[in-house]
Amino acid sequence: MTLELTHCTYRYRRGRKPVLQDFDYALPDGLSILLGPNGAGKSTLLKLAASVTKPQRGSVQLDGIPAGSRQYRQDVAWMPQDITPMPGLTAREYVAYIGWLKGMSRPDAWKRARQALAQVDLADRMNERSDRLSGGQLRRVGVAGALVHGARVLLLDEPTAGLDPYQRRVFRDMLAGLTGDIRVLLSTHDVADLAEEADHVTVVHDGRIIHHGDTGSFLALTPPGTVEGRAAEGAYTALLRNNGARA
Amino acid sequence: MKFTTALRSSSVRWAGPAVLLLAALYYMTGETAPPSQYHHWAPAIVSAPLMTLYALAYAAAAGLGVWESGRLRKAHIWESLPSRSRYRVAANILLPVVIPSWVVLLLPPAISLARSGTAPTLDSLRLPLMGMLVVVCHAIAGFALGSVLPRLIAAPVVAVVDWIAVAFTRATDPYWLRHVSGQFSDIGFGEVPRLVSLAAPVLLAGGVAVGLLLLWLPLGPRVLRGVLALGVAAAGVLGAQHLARDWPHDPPMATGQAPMDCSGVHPRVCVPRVASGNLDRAQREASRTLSTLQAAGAPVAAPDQITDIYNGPAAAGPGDRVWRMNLMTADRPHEVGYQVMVRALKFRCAEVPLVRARSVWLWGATRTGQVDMYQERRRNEGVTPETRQIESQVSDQVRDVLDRSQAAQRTWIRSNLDSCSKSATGSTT
Amino acid sequence: MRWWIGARRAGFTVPLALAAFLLPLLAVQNIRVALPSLIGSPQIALTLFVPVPLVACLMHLLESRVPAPEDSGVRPVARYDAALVTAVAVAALCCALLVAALGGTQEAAAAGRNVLFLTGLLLLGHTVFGPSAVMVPVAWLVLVVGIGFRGNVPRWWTVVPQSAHDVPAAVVSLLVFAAGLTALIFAPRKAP
Repeated sequence: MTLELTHCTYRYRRGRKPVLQDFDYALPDGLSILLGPNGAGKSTLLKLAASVTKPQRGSVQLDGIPAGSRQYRQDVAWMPQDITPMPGLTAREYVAYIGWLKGMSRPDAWKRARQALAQVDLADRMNERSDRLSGGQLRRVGVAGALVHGARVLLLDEPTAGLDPYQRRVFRDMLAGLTGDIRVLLSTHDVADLAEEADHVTVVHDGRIIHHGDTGSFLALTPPGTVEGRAAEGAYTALLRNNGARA
Repeated sequence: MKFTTALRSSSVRWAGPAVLLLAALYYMTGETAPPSQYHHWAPAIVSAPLMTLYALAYAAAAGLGVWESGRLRKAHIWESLPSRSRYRVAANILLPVVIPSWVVLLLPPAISLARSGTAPTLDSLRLPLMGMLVVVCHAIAGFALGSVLPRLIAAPVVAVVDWIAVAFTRATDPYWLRHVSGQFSDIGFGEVPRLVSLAAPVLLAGGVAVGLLLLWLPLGPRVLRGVLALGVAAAGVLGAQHLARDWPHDPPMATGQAPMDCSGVHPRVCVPRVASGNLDRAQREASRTLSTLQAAGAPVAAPDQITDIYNGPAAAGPGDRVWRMNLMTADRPHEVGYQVMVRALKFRCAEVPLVRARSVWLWGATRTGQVDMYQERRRNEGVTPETRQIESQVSDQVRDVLDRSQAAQRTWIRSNLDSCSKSATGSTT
Repeated sequence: MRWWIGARRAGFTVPLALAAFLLPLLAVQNIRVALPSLIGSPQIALTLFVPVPLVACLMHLLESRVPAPEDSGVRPVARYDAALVTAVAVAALCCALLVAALGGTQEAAAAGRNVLFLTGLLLLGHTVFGPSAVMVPVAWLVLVVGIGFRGNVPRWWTVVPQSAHDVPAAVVSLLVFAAGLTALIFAPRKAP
């Protein structure tokens, strides 16, 4: 299975500088982390991959299926950075709604919503109104929404933002427990927590990829003398500094 | 937040141009009165465009106040506020909101002043300043409403209700409603709105706004703050109503404020400075007309002063010592003299037969050399077979009178001015 | 589908919208006020403004959504939204016609037609301006009052103050409404 962005160019407004220009990316298997400073193009990449928006040039495909088609949308799940609370829906209804939007039947969506909320340790809150949940709880509802419909690709934008250490642990365990041929692309600022767990690391800067490879090759960029436990941070910082110096 | 950042992120980016465009329509479609009509009287020039734009300015401020407040609520700003004052945050957000409304109140008058070549005066700033204060009050009220109501519903509803509530007071009873709404009519030459007239709308809107601001004070229990806020708002509303309840159609105005130039004695003639180019001629005509009529035997009680009718109270001055006439626009020969002649030949009775009245005037015009002006006035009233017949009678009568001796003419004019008997063809006052 | 209704808060907002239309309509249908226009002071029926709360409620409905899953899902949510908007607008129109038929004024019937027109404007504006398009109907009404009258006679382009029997106004209202629905269904949603 391959999710590919090929020669993609995207700009938010005509006349503005493209956020991504002639961008190529193929999502590897396993868990991939997408790193980059603010404005680098991470969220744009995820939106293109989620088929929420179309590139002005280029194509996005999953195993040859074009983005925007029904099959593509059912196979790709997207959790955005901002989760909108819904006063009219409980947490379970929220997740079930997402499942229904992705083409599940009502009974299936309802049943799977409970399971997805249990996966993110929110089963005890599933009957609570979504606008009464904390920021961290709402984010977990968003993750549950990405898991509910059994997608083959999960695109998660800042899934651990606002989570306490215990919740981050739960999330990492959940990721580790994903079975089958599920590929995960996770955009985060949480370098230290997640880089060691990931299979691949992609670093984006100024709309282009400045590093793409397995985690080992990323951590190899750590400068000597870096404090133990902060290798990922060191590697990331060094990469950005080097890239900035070359530019 | 820097002001430019606040401006860039504010609803003013999309609403401001729309509001200003609506205001600009005034010049594309609405300015029916030419600037020259106001005779360079800055307060009147300023008041004319404002008359139609107050409601728009207030409604825009209120609606956008709701919108911005809702935006802050949606971003959970108030939950994350550490030590920064709420008032400071609100002011930062509202400043870009009030600016387009201020521009609506300032720009059209500025353009009108520029087009008429008139410099602004301190008096001419009264109405715009009142409007700007009331704009702030409406923005605060909108902001308060937006903090509790969903902005997508509240913003348009508040804007429309605000606009109608202000706009409709312009032509409604009781009069006090229009005096407290912040809607002001246009004003005349030489008039300046008194400070009390401006205080009424500021008191009402300001009372409500201050009351709402008091709700945010970090002092005491909520109930106490609510009572205090309600008290202040009620005081403002009731105070404004009490102030304005006995005012007639127009609020209190200071009249006769235009600077005057005067010339001569017996009579002393005064005209607004903008028309002082005609002053000497006006004084000569007035003096000559009065003395000619007196010499001809007419019972003329000459005034001490003749002054312009626009720059004073609508009613006539005390007794007959001061005459008020249209001097400012009388820039052609004999316009002033003719008015003086008509005024000087005063009938004792309120209603006089038309032929008699016209005969008296034609006689007076002939004796003072202003026949052309008399005929022009008759032509301006419209020429019909009936009026031609009347004028024929008048001309015959006056020709006959003028052939008589001086003493006979004196007797004739006195008896015609004194008599109250009615005859044939209607009357004139 | 019920979750979509819950997300839109339609169970609460639709009755509110209809009540916010019907009650003011009953209250003001015989009232005209002189409003200061830029060219005179025409007598304006207050029913002209009655659709504003309903139209605002429609925008509130449309913006009560879960953007990410709806934009990346397979259900035709935009069509459901269009159906909801149509149902509310038609219900308002029926209420207005009922009020007019039960001895009310023709202004009540015109208010129903104006719901269609102003909703269409709202939806068309929504594709360009996003949620702030809720002010587009208000701006139109201000424009109409400002320059849309010659004496007390509305100009041909104003639509909303035309009498209930005016066929061109009815046709234009339907066309604008249809255009708005089309935009809602096919145009990409603008982010708030």
